[in-house]
Amino acid sequence: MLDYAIEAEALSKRFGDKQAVAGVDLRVPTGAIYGFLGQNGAGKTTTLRMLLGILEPDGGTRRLLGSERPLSVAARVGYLPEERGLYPAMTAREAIAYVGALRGLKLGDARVRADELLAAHGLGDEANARIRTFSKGMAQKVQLLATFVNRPDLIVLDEPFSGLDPVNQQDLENMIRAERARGATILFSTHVMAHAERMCDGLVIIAHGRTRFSGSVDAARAHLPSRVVLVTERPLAELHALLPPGSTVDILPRSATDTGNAYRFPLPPGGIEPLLARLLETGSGIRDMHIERPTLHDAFVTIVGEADAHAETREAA
Amino acid sequence: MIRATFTIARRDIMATILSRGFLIWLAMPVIGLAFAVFASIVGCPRATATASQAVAVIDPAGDFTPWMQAVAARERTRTAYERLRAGHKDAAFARPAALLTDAELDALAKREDIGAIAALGALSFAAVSAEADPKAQAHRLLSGNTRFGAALVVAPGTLELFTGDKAPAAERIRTLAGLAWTKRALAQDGLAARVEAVRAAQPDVSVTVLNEGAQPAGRKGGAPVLATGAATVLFALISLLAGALLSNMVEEKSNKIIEVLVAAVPVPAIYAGKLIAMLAVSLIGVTVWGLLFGGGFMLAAAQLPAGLLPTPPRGWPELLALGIAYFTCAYLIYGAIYLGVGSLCSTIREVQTLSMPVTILQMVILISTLGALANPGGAWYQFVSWFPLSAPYMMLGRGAADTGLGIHLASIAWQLAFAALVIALAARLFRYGVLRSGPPPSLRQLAGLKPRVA
Repeated sequence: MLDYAIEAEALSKRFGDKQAVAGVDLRVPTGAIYGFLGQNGAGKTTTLRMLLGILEPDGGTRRLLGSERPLSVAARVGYLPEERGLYPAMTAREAIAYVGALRGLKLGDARVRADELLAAHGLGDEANARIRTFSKGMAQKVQLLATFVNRPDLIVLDEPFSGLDPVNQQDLENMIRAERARGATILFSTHVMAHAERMCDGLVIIAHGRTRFSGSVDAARAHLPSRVVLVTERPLAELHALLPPGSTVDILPRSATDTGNAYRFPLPPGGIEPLLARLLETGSGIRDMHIERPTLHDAFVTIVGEADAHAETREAA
Repeated sequence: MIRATFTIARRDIMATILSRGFLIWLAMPVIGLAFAVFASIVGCPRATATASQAVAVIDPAGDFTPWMQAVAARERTRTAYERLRAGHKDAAFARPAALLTDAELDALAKREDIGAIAALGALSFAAVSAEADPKAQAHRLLSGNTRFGAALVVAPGTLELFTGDKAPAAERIRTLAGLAWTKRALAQDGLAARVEAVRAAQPDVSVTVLNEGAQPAGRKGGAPVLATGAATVLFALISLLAGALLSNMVEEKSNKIIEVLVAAVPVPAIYAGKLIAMLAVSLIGVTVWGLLFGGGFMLAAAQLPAGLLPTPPRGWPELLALGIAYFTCAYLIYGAIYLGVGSLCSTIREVQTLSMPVTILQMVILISTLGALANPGGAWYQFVSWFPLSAPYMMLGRGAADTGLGIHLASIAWQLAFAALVIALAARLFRYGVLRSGPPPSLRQLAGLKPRVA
């Protein structure tokens, strides 16, 4: 069994004067759910297209399910492009079966599979309805089902949650988890950090066409220190002295119901207990104290921000 | 890849033939023909009133009508003989029609084939008793709802022809009247037999063509008509398909499904699937139109006397086979070009904009082809025969006139090779066009070379 379903190294692609992808490294372990994050225009879709063989990279290498020729393993891959599309005159059943036939299934088998998928996801009664009669969400669901029709070993989803209502988003999360449970590897791009945070075993964050982070969600969060929020009855003029040198302390605005003094500062390397002991000694009147772990959103913004700064420095140079 | 190609072809065929637009497309030539017939009926009232073929002969002397009838019958026989002579080499048709005597014409009129052709469009001459004022009588005969299309007033030393709205060809009646007058005069003076004898003794003028290379070998009378017709029919078929091919990709692109296809199947397979689908749809259209128009034509042709229609030198089955071969070549060449260029369009409006230069190009090709067919021999004739965009039309035209088969096999091989080249280049354009990523490919990239590194 392969260790990695996707391996890419130093992928690059230029469109005219624009360097769309400048060096993306990516490794997705077999059987994992991986998130592919980046700002608009960071090069996510171009990278996915190169991985799948839709575009040929100008530089770098890629291996999909062990093959350097992605189309040779197309029968084992499912792909949902960012720009959704189905033939409006086709029925839901035929639309799914058509994708199955393109992915190597016999047409008859693909139709049977389409019926199973539609029935399992609440669209059994709509199997013979034409796509043009569907709502946008229903049509999108049909295309999602078409992505899974050939029971792929690798599923690549480009912004799969966009355009779905919360119920359908949850349904899609369940579908992705079920596919992983079946043994599939899933790579999806998204802007919605909550999905990545909930679902992903690992993340790849790209900015300005380059990989900026690759690892687990916890590792991404660890990019930023945890912070302590402290609320006291009396002002703490000596708080700086209690913290390691160079620590920044934010004084938080008081809310209308809260008459205390609120501070936020990085968690000291020695942990919270020594600080807590000193605060008790000084009799500051602790009303609240808790540790805030950085969110993936915070980590993403920081990582991308660093990349922006790096790019600006490079441009200035 | 082959299975994917046919999966795409199958979907495209089903989607096309089950659409309402397909029925309209299929009916387009029928609608066009119906419109042309309607326009000719409404727009040409003179032609609609079926021209009466009856001519009233007002002759106070009373003996001119039989002369008119005899002369008209013999001239019809002479014309029919001349038509058939073009396709006959036997001794019965050795003499030119102009040298035939009255006796020979009377004998030929009894032949079934000549008699049948001579009967087409015949004028009839009816003797009408002359009144005191023949001119006023002619006016009266031709006014109102009359069965006569013209009236000929015969007087000593004069012939006057009156024609009405429904007049048959006045010039023809005029010529016949002149001939009849001369015949009657010769007979009255006892010179008829002598003139006939002189005519019978007149030798045919032999003609020797010194520059035989200027004419294609085996060229026959009637073949240029067939050549022009064959080239024009093929051109019309390809033109009808061009619009459909140009707009074929718009659906995929507007539906955004193309990326699903490109991710699952190699681009050449998609391209081939679409070409096959359009070829199948075209053949369905050609079959339907062939049954409608070809069947109608054969029914009409069956009513015509044998020998009236031109026959291809190597027969209809071979010309039909050449037609299918050249249709396939033309379809592959033009289909690949149109599909490649059409993939650059995102909307029907863009397709319409692009259709204009394509139509102009096609017209230039047709005019060049017809011009070359009309002037066989020379460098231009050869150029149009081998230039790949005109070669299918031109060579089919030549197939309707030529007898040599070898040159057609060579031409078909050349056209198929060129089609393969066009398909390879167009597939690259197609890849760019359908994904619209970055600038259009350079000529180097279209040729399969790596772009130059700056």
